[in-house]
Amino acid sequence: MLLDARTIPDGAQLETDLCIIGGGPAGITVAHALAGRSTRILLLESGPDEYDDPTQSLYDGESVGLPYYSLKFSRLRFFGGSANHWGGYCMPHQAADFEARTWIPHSGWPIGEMDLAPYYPRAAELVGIDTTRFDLDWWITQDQDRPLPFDAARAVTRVVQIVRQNRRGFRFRDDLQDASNVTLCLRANALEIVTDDQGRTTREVRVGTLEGARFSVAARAFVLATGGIENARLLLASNGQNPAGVGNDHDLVGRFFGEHPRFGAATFVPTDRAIPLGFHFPHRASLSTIEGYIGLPRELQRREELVDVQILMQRELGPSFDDAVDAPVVRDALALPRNLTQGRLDEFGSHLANVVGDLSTFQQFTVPGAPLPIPYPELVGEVLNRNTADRLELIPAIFGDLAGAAYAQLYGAPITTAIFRTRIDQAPNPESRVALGTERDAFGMLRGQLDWQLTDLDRYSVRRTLEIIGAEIGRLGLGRLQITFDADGQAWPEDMSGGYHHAGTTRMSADPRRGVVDGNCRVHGLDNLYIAGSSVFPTVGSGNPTYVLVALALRLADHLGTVLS
Amino acid sequence: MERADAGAKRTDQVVVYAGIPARIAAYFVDAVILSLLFFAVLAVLTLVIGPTVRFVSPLDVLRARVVVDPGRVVLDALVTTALSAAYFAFSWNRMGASPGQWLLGLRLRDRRGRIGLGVRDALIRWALLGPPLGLIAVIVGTLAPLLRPSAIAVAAVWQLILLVTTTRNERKQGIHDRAAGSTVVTSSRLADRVGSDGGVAAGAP
Repeated sequence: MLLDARTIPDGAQLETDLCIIGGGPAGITVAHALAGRSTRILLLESGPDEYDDPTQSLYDGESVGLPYYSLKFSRLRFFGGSANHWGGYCMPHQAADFEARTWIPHSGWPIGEMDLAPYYPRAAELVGIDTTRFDLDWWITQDQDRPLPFDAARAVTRVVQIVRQNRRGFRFRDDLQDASNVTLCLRANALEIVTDDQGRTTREVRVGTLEGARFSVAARAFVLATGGIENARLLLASNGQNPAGVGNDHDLVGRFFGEHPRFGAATFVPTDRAIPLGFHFPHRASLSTIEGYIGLPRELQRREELVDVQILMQRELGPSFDDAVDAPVVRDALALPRNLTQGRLDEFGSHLANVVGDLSTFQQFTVPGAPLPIPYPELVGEVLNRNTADRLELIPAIFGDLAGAAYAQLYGAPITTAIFRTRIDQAPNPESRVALGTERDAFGMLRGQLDWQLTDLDRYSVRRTLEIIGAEIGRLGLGRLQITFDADGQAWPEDMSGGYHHAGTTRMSADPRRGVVDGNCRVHGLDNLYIAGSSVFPTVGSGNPTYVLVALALRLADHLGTVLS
Repeated sequence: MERADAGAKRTDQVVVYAGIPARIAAYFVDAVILSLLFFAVLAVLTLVIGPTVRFVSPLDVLRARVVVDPGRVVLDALVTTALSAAYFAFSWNRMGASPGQWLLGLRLRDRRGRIGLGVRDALIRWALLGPPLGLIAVIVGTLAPLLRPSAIAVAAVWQLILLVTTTRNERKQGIHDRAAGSTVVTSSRLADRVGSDGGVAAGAP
């Protein structure tokens, strides 16, 4: 059933078995997994079905630490949540991600890889990937491209799958709407979680609409699934009974904010520009799209006492191809169908003329008057005299920008250099945190304040990882790695950003003094409040959060199914 | 230039006009030969007076590294057009067929039914076959690049007109044949194998 919160009378008291707060991937997964059962579910989603700026503005907040994205837009606040701008990258955490590593303070999960393993097949269906295989050996059998031939004791390639664009929505709205036991309530903003006087049981959640109505929802259990910043903010702001907020007896809520920091840290200059690097960029393999990240083997990380740093390559094409890909005529060609369907024949004509002109580029290099389009002898000689990469560089110049862009799209283009961008599994840091700010949103709730911080271990790990990979690249004769990251300086690179991967702010631990939730994602000290999403990750991990959090949400749904039945 | 006696024989027997497929095949063979000839001649020209297409530097990684000398393009077009004229006029006059036609078993007859064309008729036939239009397209395209597609289109339309007029004519004479007084006939069974759909006439001149 679909419900618009604006139709609920002011002061109403709703009652259900399970109240899920947040209609993003985590909340939707829990509801979807329990759809069709006897448990009554009310899913509260702050936004409508599409982007709505007044609702989105509720995310606005202040960033006082390392430079970070605008908090207003680092998550999307409408049904489907941040899956609406998801990049579709999927990789599970590795076994080592769950382990307590002595050299990484606060590391270790109370659950292990095998606890999530049964849920990955279903998670794969929900996120839209075709297989749960991530082992490199298997993918090599499916792929024409090959990873760089590292010695497995020195460097490794890890496979990440990328969900096709048209499958990334994660909405499942029809499924939820059709389920007899699920009510999807849009435009319902959770304002406060209210516990009993002892703070042992969650009694209700107070809800408001931007139009001014207020109502409450009582339930046997609650799942908070509003993202890594909002989960903490709502718990902290729910301070009616306890000034520290809900679930915050040990001052852990909001702390340990983690990300996958990424920045250009090195430049790879191949010895031969024709070295095949295609495996390390997004490409088709069998029916899937995959990409190979570069990292260190876990045993080496253990010996070197490093956090996990994965490397993503960002290629810089040969200049001719770079220009071709960005050439105006490419946009003209892409605009042709639109011009035609919109009846803009004047633009269609001028764009078509440009396209025809570009496609006839080769004609100016052919011998005039020859009945067949044979190239000038000097052009043939030049092409034959060049090496493979330089020869390829001539494609846009000889055949035009469209041909160059098409070639780059289909086969990749000669690469002059590749930027090595980091993807750090940042060390858990209690000083990296989400807190309440001083400004208030439209409901009068204190806005979130993010103080993102990294540690010296992160810095050292980046440098050392690059040194090891660079040495391996040199040993193989593949080229040189110019490390641009200044590990000795205090400042982080200006281009540093996150991956919109918010983790750690309601971290999981078996010990209430070390974590906000237990191994079943239940908030310590409260018998019916659960948290879903990457905010429970004690470490961000090497995998991509969405795939892992969906598996974890399925596991939570399993647990709730048992508890509530 | 005198025509060869061997080509001056009067043929009063049954004449088979060459079909379109055989004539196109012959033209394709000539196109290959001419293209290779042009390539060789321009290679020599490049060695003697320098290249038409220049590369700013083999190591240069900037755009627009391939530069075409427009003056040389026009010169090249004049050379290739002259070569084309010489190739066809000579072969039609001296051999009664271009090398491609010869290989396909085709022969050209003049107004009197003799094998081979006079130089004037050969040049008229060559001119109307279209190569001068190609030269014009090159010159127009060099002076006004925006007009190049139009010039190429005119040349292409002319080829279509030749094809249609040849196909629709009882004696398979296109505009170029009618102007030069030529007919294309078969001299062997090879043309039949290629696919002759030509007409048959008894004692046709």
